[in-house]
Amino acid sequence: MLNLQELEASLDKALSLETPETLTAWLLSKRFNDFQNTLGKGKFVEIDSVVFTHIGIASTYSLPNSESLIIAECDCSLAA
Amino acid sequence: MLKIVYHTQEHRGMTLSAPKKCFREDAWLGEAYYFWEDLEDADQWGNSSKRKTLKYEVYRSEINYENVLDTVFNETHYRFWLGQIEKVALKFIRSTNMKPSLKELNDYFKERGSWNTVTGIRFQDLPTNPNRLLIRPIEYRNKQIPFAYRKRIQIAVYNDYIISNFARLKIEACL
Repeated sequence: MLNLQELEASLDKALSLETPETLTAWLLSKRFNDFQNTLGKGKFVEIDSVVFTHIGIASTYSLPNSESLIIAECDCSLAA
Repeated sequence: MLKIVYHTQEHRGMTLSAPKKCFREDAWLGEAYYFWEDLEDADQWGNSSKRKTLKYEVYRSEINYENVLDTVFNETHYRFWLGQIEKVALKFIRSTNMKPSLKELNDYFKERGSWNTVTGIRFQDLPTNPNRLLIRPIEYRNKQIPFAYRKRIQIAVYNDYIISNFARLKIEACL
């Protein structure tokens, strides 16, 4: 059985220790982590070429090193 | 109290042995394992949100509701939860000038409020598909307004030890 008074007391204690700076930091950190989670698992890798498909014709262009594209290899696990 | 609930996922060929935790930004009750209480809602979720492979799976499970915060049928729990939501939300708004999402508030309860004894939250909203209603829509000024009389009830589970007998119930083709 949940003890609601204890839950409230625990939350009130946490709130009493917060400052505008700590709450802002927590919220922004949470949003950044949520954004990262939407990218899924994996990493960003550099590629040297990219395939463009235009009107059904596929072409591969090699990019100079200074213009290498960076894409993510995502293993996006959907849940819920 | 044990209750049968349903978990919907895309059909990907591999059978899940456990539910998948949701980390999505739009997971409105925070990072949790999400289940539907009605099979109808599990199917509706499959048809609306798990369409990528054109098939979805529904898993059946049992959940121990003993330490679940029941905002659907327990008025004390509901009013308590509502009070805490609004208290913390106001604190965020006044301190940061930013409105938190429901997910962020629920995550705050767990992380900063140390709500470790809360094993999950039972929550309701309204079904989104008006075609499944068995009553006529409300007609007002030449408009037809569907009236969702049935609750769409779900539970967000934070502690997986309250989940048992998780098994695949069926695979369905998306409509």
